[in-house]
Amino acid sequence: MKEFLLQSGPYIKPKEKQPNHLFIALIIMIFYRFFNEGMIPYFKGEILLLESFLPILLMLACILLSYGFYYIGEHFIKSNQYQKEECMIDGILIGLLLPIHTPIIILCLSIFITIIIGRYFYHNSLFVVPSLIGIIGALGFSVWLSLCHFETTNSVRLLFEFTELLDFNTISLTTLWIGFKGTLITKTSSLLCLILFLFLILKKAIKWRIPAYFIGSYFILLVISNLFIPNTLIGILKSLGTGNLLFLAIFVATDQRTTPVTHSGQILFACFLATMTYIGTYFFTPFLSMILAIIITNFLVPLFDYFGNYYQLKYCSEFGQ
Amino acid sequence: MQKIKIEEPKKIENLNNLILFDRPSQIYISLATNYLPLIKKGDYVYQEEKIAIRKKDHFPLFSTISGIVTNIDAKGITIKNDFKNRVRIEEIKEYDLKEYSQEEISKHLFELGIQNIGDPDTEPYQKLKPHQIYKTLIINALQKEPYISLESFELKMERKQLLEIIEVFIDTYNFMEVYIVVPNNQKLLLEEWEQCEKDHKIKLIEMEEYYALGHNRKLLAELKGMYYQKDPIEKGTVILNVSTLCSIYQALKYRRPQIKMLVQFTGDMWKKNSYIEVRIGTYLKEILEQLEFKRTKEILLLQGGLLQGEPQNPDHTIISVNTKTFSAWKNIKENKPTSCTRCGKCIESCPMHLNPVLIMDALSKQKKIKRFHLEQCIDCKLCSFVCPSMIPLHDFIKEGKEKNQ
Repeated sequence: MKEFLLQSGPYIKPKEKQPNHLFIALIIMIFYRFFNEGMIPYFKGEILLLESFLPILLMLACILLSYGFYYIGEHFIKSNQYQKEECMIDGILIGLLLPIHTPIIILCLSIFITIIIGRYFYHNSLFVVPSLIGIIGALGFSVWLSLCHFETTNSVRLLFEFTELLDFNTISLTTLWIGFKGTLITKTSSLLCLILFLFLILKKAIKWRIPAYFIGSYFILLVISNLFIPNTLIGILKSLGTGNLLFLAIFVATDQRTTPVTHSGQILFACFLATMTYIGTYFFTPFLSMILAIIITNFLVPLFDYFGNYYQLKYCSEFGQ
Repeated sequence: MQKIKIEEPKKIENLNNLILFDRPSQIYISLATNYLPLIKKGDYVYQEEKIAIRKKDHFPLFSTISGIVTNIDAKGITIKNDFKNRVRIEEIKEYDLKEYSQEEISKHLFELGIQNIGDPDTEPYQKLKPHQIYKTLIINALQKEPYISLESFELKMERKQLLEIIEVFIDTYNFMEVYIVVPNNQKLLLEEWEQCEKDHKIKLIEMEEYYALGHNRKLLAELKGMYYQKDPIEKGTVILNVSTLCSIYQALKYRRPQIKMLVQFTGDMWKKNSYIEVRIGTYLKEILEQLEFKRTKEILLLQGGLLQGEPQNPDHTIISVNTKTFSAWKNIKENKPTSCTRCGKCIESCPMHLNPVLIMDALSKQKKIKRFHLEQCIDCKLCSFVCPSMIPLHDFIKEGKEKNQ
């Protein structure tokens, strides 16, 4: 039994504010990234000490930029629209999704698009996860920069990391799930993502049905595809364990404002997302295909909520008849 | 649905804490829009005299004091107290409850104008109509709101009378099951009523009290797994709260209309709960003067508790059958709403499985709302309470209900 949260409602004395558990989970991801892409290469002698702090510096830059753009949005566009934590989480997601060598200008533009355009300009009709709009913007800008030869090295690197296809045969299952040599960009740990997912479920901090049904549906689709393209269980787990898939499912696809509110709607959303992601892997990398799948599925959220409401009230109205 | 429990246990106060406020200077009887007055300004009325009738079925309203009618309009009747408590029939006669038939019970409850106490619900005379199929009687002693303990207080105070009337109902209406639902955190109360369980055909149900279990819809769903459209009688069930049952007892025992009721005053303004017996129609400000209530800007006075309470101006508030509790709180800040984050907490918490956020969206965009089944809403205001953006979601549902009507 849960106690009353005496922090909301018009006539309740506010208690101490509850910590934002999603924020805590993302901080853990940041530290893991620092450990994985900063400390380990430094101890291996691959990079200098200063370079090892790049992941932390990148995240600090993202947080400061998102904070700054949040204030600009609140003061010049529309105030009292978003909570500070929402915009900071957007910034952290951008920082975790982009490689550590992302040029600062691309980072700025990405966060600008996410917060100012993605949130404040479309505040009444927010239907796509803002951080993904920022990522698409970053991609597009990188293409333009490299085409115009303004800044080629890092922007090409960014494009390469987005489109890199990993050869699973060369990587062991444990390495893939722990994330030491992850796929694409962040080298995220799938195992850590699952642990944090359990933490977020316990704290009821996210719409847990979406990642849970996504993982289940994607697994089932991989198993079904096994009938046509033979694969071992390890091969299936490797496909599932591409770190960014779980990261996107748990932290990006569960964005509160752009996902269904009804329980059945969330399940439909997750199953559709898994299907679109799976189909997309035949044309793009898993990471890109999931980003596109989330964007497409976001457009259908009102439809999912419509069916979700229908199923929920059918249960309620039946007993009343 | 996530269950939300109050962290502070409620204590039943001693019977010595009952305060009598029997001498209001004047009373106001509300006529709403559907009552016709039977008197005019300047008339002298007796205590317990019929002063108005409902237009559609002639359901009566009675004066709770004797005195002169000082004002009368479409909204209500004001009577100045002469402090003589004069009645037309002075002899108080006791009637044997066992001699009542179903028709007589319904007839007397109608003629004596007995209403449901605590919330606007079907009148008792309609709930106990003759020749209906009656299976279950549920006496609801759970609180509708946190921090309110009036039901438990009355259950303790009126035990003998309640048992007597319950026995009569069992014999007259042939109820197959009788439940008294009590909160399981009231040990003294449970011990007293457990003995009754052995001696009578009553089943005592202890329930772990969580909000909004005190509402009839939720209680019936939890207890019997049954849902109803308009009234529990659709499922052969009669649900009465303790206050209403007490007033039914008084009415049938003495064949007198109800003129007094118990009101609870709670909140962090006072050190302990106060239970006051007042005359229906008393002005709240007179009672507050007796309680030495200091009216300042920092104090929020609500009719009801923190969840369902509505802010009150004591100068204009009258004690009626729907005002069982008042609460006063210090240093309450009204939080400003922000935009909806679509977190879904309102849906998780709704005891009737409704979708408050979708209702709000539909109303904002002026779409059809019939598909949301707003009639199932029990007005618990839990959606407004749990919303982290502090949006008054219940206001939208209320608006939707009015539109549907």
